[in-house]
Amino acid sequence: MASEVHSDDSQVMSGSIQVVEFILGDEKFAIDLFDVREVVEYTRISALPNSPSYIKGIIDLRGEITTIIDLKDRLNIMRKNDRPDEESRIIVLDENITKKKVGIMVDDVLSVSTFEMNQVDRTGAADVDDDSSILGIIKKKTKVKDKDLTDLIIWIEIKQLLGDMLKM
Amino acid sequence: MKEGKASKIGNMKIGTKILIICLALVIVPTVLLGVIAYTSASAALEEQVETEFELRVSESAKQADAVYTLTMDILEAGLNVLRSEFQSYGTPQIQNGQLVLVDSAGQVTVVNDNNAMVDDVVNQVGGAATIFQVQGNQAIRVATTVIGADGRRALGTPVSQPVYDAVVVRGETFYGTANVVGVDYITVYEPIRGPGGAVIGILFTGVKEDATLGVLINDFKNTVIGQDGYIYVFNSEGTAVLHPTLEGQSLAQYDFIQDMLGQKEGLIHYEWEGDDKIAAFTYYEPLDWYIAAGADWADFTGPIDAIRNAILIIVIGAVIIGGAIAVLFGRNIARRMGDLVNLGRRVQEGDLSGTMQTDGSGDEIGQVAGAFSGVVSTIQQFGSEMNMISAAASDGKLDIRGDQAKFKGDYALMINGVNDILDAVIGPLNVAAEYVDRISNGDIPEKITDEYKGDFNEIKNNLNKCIDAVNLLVNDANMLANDAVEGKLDTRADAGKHEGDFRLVIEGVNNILDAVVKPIKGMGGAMNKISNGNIPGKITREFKGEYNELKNSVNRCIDAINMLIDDANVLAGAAVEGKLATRADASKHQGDYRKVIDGLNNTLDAVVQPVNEVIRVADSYANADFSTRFSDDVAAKGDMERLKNALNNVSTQISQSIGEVNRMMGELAAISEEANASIEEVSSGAQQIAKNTGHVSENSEKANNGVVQVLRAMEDLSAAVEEVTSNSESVASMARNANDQSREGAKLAAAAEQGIGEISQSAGDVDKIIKGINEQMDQIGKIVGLIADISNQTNLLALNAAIEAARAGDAGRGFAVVAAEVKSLAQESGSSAESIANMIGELQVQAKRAVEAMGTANSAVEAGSDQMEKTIVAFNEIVQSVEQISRAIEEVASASEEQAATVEQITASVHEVSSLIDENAREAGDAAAATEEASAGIDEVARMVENVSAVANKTLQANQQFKLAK
Repeated sequence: MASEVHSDDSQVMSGSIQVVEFILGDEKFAIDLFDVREVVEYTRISALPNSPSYIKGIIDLRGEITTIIDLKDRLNIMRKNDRPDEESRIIVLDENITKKKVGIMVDDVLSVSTFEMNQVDRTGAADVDDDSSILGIIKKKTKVKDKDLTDLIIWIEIKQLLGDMLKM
Repeated sequence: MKEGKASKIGNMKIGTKILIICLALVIVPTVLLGVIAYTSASAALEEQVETEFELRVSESAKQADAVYTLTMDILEAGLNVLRSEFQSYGTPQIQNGQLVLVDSAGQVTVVNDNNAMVDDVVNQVGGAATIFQVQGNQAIRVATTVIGADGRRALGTPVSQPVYDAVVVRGETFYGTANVVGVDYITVYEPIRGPGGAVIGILFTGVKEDATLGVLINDFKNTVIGQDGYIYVFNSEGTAVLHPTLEGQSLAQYDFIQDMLGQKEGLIHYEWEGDDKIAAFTYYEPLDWYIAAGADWADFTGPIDAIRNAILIIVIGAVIIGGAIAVLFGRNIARRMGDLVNLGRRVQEGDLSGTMQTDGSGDEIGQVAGAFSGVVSTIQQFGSEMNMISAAASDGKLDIRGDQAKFKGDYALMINGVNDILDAVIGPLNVAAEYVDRISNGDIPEKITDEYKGDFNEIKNNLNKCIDAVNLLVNDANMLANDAVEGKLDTRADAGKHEGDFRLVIEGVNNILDAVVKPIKGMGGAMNKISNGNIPGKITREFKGEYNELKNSVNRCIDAINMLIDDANVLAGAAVEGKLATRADASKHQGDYRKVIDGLNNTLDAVVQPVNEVIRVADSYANADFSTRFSDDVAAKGDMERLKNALNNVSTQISQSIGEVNRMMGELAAISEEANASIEEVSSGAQQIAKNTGHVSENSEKANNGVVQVLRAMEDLSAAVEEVTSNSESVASMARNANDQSREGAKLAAAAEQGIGEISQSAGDVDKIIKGINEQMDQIGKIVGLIADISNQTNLLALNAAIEAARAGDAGRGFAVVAAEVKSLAQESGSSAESIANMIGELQVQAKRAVEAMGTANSAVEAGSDQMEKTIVAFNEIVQSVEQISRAIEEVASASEEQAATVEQITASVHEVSSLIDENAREAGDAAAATEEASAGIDEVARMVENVSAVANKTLQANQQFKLAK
């Protein structure tokens, strides 16, 4: 199943997708599993001078300098003051999509999940401006106290989202 | 030691000093010059000689080298010729025990006993040549030009062993000196090698030593160095190769030879057969030669000795000439200095009579002599001036001063100094003289306070001491005198404070006082007794001089007083007995004592006349004649006059009194009559009283009725009081009851308070336990936090594992399941930890509330405790109040009882009043009777008044008989 999935959009139309779910603010988001290298805990981020506000800074990840991007800032999601930075997570992106090591800072990482393509609504995404890089909305069915609930997960294309920056 | 030397030099005569100086001036430079010349000359000469020796030796060595090189060239040439000759016959081999040469054509030439080759070589180059064949351990001559001692070719003889070793054994070419068949040769041996390279023979060429080095040695032998110096040669073993006397012998035993062997090249001084020798030497190695050129050192020192001798001669000559000059001048100076010294000594010893003979020379000594003469005359002048001053001073003319104008410089200063000394002496002397003068005139001055120096200060101190001593003496004398004047004869001065004769003076004064005081005290005692009326016996003690007269006077005084007392006693006794006519005999007494007795007699006379007059007047008074008066003819003075006046007064007073009595009696009679009239009035009053008494009796009965009514009311009151009393008692018993109840209440309250205290303690315990639980919960909270952290980490790990597994594709699927499982477990444990944390939080809140509740309960309990305490206090107050009430009621009860008693008393009193009223009525009746009796009494009084009137009249008549003074 995983072998059928590729990071290229066109081939995700049928079959299933594997994503990493995470939280930004109140909403759930997902990015392609193969864009993810690993998830690490927050460590102190050294700010870089004279850089865009969504570039949080850099960390030393096992000897490698890794640039940290605040995804909330990038996506213009309101920052909630009650969550301290220390509780956030960093999703380190796979090197195959970036020239240098990049991590994105998210509020929490939930799980690695597999969804069938019929669970993905791509029509909603089409309405939105290209710039948002939303691939689609995943409808995830969960059971809470014998009640069927549908969670909506915003599936984004991280490569496009970070676009220019990753070409640096 | 050093000083001794220095003083020795100092004490030397001037002539000697000059001599020493001149000699030193002559000898020191000459000797120095000589030494320098000698040493520099000898050093130059030595250097020259040494250079010459070294040159000679090196020339010799060069010569030897030239000879040796030449010899070697000859040897080399010979060897080359021999070798080419030898090899021209072919290559050497051993065939049939013979040394053969085989040429390329195969022709064999036997070398053994074939002398053609060697002879040919010797003919060409000279010297000697030999071919050896190695046979066994030897090399045997097989062809030679060397002729043996027997005059034949020395064939068949072996080569010497050192050569064999070097050439055959080691395969070297040997150069050197060698003894060849008894003759010394300079040689070269070269090995012959066979086809296999083995040494099979030796080629030899040699030159006789005599022909080469012998020439050199002869040359050396003929060389003379200096007068009889020579060249000698020895080898490294010390054996003399060339020496005029010791050739062939070993020189190694000589130290200088050893030095040379050690140094190999240089210059050496040594001793040889008693002579100083010098030798230059060098080593020529190829021949193993030490070449030395030696000579007697004396051969070269001749010029130096000449210089030395010349210097010696010059020094000696200079010493002699210098000494002579020095002695000449020195004597002249020394003589004149001696004169000066003698003069100086004389001046030193005070003999100023001498003068200096000036020899007219103008040098310094002459000037010194002139100056010295001037000094002498100045000192003479100075001395006479000093003599004058001292003579004047010893004559006491202290105002004489030296004339400093006569002198110059320090002499003037000295005279001035002497004058100053005199001034300095005279000032204090004058002060001392003035003080002594004042002291001698009795005017003790104040202490000298000025500061003087040295002995003047001593004088000042002595004067001050003298002033102190005199002051002390004067003070003590004043003290004794004052005390003596004031009669304090026991006062003595403390002689210990004084010294010397002052002490004697004070002791003398004390003794005088002692001598005076004893008799005075004796007499004083006697006089004292006399004055106290206690006449003592005569003083029997013996005194001296005037003290004895004093004693006799006192004794006479005692006699006179005793006699006087006796007479006075006689007169007094007579007077006591009323014998006023008795008189004492005044003629027995003398002076004032007689006057005393006369006075006594006169006194008696003065008393007796008035007494007789008194008797007369008193008699007259006794006869009721008060008109008699104390006769003015009788002299009555003092107390007698008072007696006289008293008597006269008696007469006057009594006359007046009787007159007065008479007058009053008349008045009494008149008053009695008036009284009579009054009594009648009283009588009528009494009758009125009797009437009033009847009224009183009536009123008493009315009062009695009122009293009976009061009595009835009192009985009612008594009943009421009894009621009150019984009520009070029941209240009292109730109060006691209340009291008991209150006490019970207080006890119960105390028990409750104790219970509350226990509750409070329990609440504290609970509080503590809850706090402990809280702490433990905190601990659990921490652990739960740790678990949450771990589950968080695990979660992350699981997530990463899941990512990895997913990325791995099919291979990672199993792992993905595990990762998902781990993740869910981690999440579960995380949520569990969270719920535990929440529960703990809840529990902590509850516990906090429990603690708060407990605190509230505690404070409530404490409030209850306070209330309880207040209750107890209230109970106690109740008890007190009830007790007060009880007491009050008891008081009321007792008061009621008292009231009852009082009512009864009142009742009794009313009864009494009733009876009193009865009595009153009765007495009123009695009073009426008494009034009548009083009327009768008044009548009696009227009668008595009349009697009085009659008595007064009678008295008047009686008084008429007194004769009264007008």
